[in-house]
Amino acid sequence: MSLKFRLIGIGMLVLVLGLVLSLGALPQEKVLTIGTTDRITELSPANSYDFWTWHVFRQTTNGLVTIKPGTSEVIPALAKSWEISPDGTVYTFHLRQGVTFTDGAPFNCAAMKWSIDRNLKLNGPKGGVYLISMIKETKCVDDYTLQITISGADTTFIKRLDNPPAWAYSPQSTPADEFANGKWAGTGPYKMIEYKPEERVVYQAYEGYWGCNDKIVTAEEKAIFCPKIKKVVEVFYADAAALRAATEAGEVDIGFRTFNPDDILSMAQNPNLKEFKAASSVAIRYLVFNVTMAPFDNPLVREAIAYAVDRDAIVSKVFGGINKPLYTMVPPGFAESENVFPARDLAMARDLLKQAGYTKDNPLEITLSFTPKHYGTTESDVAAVMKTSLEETGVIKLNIESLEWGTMTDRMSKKDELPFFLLGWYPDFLDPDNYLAPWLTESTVSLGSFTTDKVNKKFQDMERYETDEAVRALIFAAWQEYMAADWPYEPFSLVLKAKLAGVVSMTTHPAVRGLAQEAINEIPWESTSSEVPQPVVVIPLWQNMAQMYAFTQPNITGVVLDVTTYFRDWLVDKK
Amino acid sequence: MGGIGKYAFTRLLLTIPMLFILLTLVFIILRVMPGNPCLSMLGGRNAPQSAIDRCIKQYDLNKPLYLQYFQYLGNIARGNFGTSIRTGRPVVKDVFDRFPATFELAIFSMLIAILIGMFTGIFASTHSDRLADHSLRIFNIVSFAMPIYWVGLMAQLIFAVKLGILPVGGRLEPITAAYFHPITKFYVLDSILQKNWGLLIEVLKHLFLPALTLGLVQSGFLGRISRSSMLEVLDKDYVTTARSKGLRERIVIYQHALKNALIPIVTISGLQFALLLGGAILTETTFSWPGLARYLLRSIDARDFFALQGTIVFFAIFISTVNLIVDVIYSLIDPRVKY
Amino acid sequence: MLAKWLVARIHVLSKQHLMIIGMIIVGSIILITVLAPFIAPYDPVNYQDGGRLEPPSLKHLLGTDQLGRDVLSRIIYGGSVPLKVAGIAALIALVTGMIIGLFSGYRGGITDRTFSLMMDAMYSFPGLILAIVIVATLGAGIFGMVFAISFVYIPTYFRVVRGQALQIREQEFVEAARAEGASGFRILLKHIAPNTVNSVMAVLSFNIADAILTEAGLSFLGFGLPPPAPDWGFDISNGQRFLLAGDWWLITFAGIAIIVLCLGFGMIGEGISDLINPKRRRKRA
Repeated sequence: MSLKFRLIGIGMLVLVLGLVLSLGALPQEKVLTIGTTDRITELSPANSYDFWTWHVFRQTTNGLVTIKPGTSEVIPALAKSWEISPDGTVYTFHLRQGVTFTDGAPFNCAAMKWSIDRNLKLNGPKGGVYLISMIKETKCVDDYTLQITISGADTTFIKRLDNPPAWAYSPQSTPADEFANGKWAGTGPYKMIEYKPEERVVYQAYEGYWGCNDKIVTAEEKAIFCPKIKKVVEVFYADAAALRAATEAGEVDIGFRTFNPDDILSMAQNPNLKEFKAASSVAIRYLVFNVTMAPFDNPLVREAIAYAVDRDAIVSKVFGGINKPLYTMVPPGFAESENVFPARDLAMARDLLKQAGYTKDNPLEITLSFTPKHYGTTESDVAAVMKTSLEETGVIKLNIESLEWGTMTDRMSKKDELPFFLLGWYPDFLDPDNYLAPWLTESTVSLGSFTTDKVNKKFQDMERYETDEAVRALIFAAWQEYMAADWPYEPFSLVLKAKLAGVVSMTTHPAVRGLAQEAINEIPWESTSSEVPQPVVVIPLWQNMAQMYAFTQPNITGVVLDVTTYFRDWLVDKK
Repeated sequence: MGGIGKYAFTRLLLTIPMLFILLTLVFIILRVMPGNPCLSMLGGRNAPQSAIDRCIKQYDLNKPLYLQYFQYLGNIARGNFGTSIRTGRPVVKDVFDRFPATFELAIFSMLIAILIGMFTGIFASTHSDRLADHSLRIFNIVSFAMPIYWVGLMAQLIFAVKLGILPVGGRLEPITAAYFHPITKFYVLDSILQKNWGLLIEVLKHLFLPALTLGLVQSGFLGRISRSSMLEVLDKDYVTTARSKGLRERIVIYQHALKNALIPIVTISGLQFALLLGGAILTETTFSWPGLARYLLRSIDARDFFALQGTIVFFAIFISTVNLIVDVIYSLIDPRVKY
Repeated sequence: MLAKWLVARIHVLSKQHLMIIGMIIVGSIILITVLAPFIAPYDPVNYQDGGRLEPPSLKHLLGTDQLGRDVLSRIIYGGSVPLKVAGIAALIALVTGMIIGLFSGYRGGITDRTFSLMMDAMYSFPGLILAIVIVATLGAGIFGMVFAISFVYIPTYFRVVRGQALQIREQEFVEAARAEGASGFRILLKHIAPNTVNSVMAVLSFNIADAILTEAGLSFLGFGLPPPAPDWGFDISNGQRFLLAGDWWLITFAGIAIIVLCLGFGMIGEGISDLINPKRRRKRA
């Protein structure tokens, strides 16, 4: 027995000594380490559609255009300039010359055309290729001029090009007929040299990157494109707590996506950490109604809930004030954003419910569904607060249902299974269209709203045809007002009518004018019993700021967190 | 010796129908679950119905269930475990990428569990019914009663955050990992093979807390078994040689008792080890350990049928193999067992 | 007669300190849970005015959580779900496992082989994973969790009971009973079953403890009950993200509660094991 004791003792001693005298392998060059809780799914531009996978592509290749860091302005990338035909369907891009892929192959129109055609053809089931599915034809006018024809004028098209399905991939290293699955070469700034699933991605700067080449870019452009640190390691952590611990312990230079709101609050007080955050967030959270399921087929019920939700309680109790309440689906980062949802008014909520036939003796009994992990760990708290807020009316009885993600998506897609639920959203491209169309016109099934209000389609078509910014802003203002109206409790406002009339008079596109006029004709200004309008299909709740925070070690500069939510590894520098 | 071989062979043969039943069970459960991988991936995003339909067709999910079942069985028989829907890589590759991490954690946890368990169990048995016995028995029960993740979180709080002497999670620091090229992916082994002692120390540092957490919680059961098997043996011999005097006799008795007691301990350890793999889910989640259990969790979330089927079958085969080896060893060292 | 039997039993039991302490622990917790509405200082769900994340103070003895709820009240109410789920699940597993085990062990032959194979298959499936998959299928909620947990534990009872049944059926009094013409069912019920009760009781104790941990584990991984019902496992998973911010009281007390309850059941189990193995009782004078 004592021998055993001794052995154990020695073993422990060795271990302790080892801990105390530990050495790590020392790196020779400057390496940037970034920690995140996100994950990569499949590294195929034609078969992926999630944040970090697309982030990896963003570090390793470019598209025709991109967004200027810190703004929402579209600027040239691989295309140094472009023109749009008068009817809005033909885009002609003039490509930069002297650009090479990281495998040495030359970049030219043939390569760009090949990349786009390839992705359109492969169009993977998991992928976001449908974002550019309006492309009818790509044509090389000459070696450095690419012409793209789309199926109908769409002002959102140019912004949609800032996504991996529309980027450049080397025909020499990227498979033509199957998903890339990690095999590709882009134009840089980095090359991915290692990917260990669930663990890390490692990048090495490409020496021949066009964005560092003074002969190809201006000094101003070089500052935006050329990488400052040559080697980057992105590490995946299991959850927000692990990420926080690692950031505070100095294990990573930068921690980004996604900290717990409470961790953000206390880390902001930590003098050893630098905080970066975006001014606003384009990630939002909201409630969805399946407007075909009772009692939510009654607009009065939906509007009552819109009056009864307590955004302030959610923001302060669940998030300690980190997030910001949202009164329209289009977040304030966009100029077109207009607050159209009402402030909390319990009396109004009770009144609406009374009109719908619900009283204290005959309360409205409903179930709110949410998913406990997919959107972070705070959803259950949100549901709990929602329950208290809605029940405060005295006329609502709310049950909470927790659904695991797979089950939730399943029920969401069936016509009569999920009446009322919490969901989250981040944009596919930076345009207010992407905050209204998905639930109102484009994906009413996969997003569970099942709305059939055709007036929404008119708004969508209007804003997609319209090219004048001011008129477009007016269209969006009108659309937001329409979808948040208190009809039939109150008739549609005259302000809305005036806005539509304004569109009719200001627009220079006959198609838009026609649509606006049709909208004016179809909206039941006087009547309260039309079947068409289905207002308040969704209720915006808050902007998710938690995803827009990065905490770094004090010697880090160059972290830009803007409306795009992109993280540009190449801008970061370390003293 | 022919008996052993025959026994092993029979056991091996029996494993096949067992695996078959398991495979069927897994298939049924997975397909009964609501949801499918396409909806999990595209749900909540701006996906037109056509995209979802195309996805479903791509993975044969619209074919009748029995067809999918036979396809599934046929593939497995040919060793094709399919491609993970979520990662796009062959499930076998995904599994073998992550398995060494889980296995390494399991081995070290087992070592710690055996050390603690045997020590407390044997000590308790030799001081039977005294204070030491009662306290150690309570210690064993307490360690088994503690939720693994709670212990892990406490350990993280104390050692990693407050004291800062041990890392929070992961198998290696990110910078070190970027320069490390493993051969076997068993990091302890690899660092020894590469004679990189600094690396070995770092690997052990990262292993320490998760292994301690999992090992501590598992030690309770081992402690109980050690104690009761030691007691059984000690009772017998102690009674018959109660009259012997002198230290030497007692040491001989203890050594003899220990040897006999080791048999059930070894058996249980083997079984525990196999179950440890499944129980590693909580540890891997708490310590960001890139192992198979976490892969499984993500696959459930994504309804990645192929990954789930492949991983579970792999677990089952592994556990059966371990069971078989343990049984064979048991039959070799226990003279009472005859074939 | 009955009185004498009782006294003898109590005399034996009173020597089992471990088991008694275990029973006191479990009994107290059950009592607290049942009396919760009268003991808890605040409503565990609707009272949200305690101030956000307040550390333990005189007003809130164990602090408050992020929604301003009183942690002490939630702990007092929080044992209800784990006890119910674990208790019911363990009982279902016991009854099912015993029935199948007795049947299989007694019959032997192919029946036994088949059942053993099936149970082995289920047993080799890591329990927590199986439970997760079942809960994901049936949905979070008491029913789903009970079903998942009981399903996972059936093989344990099966094995114990089957082993005993195999052993006992070879014994003489069973042969005698069969010779007298007693039917299989009667033999099972009258002779074999009662002899397995002791080992099963020991297993049951540990089983409930394990089931409580499984329920907490499921909650931790996000497969547990929906809010805002108080539940120790849920509160731990809920409190996890505040640990690094220094708000330790959310996890610690719920964790201790689980440990104490499992400790109680574990001690009962140990005590029962001691009882049924006479050799292990005190030998030293």
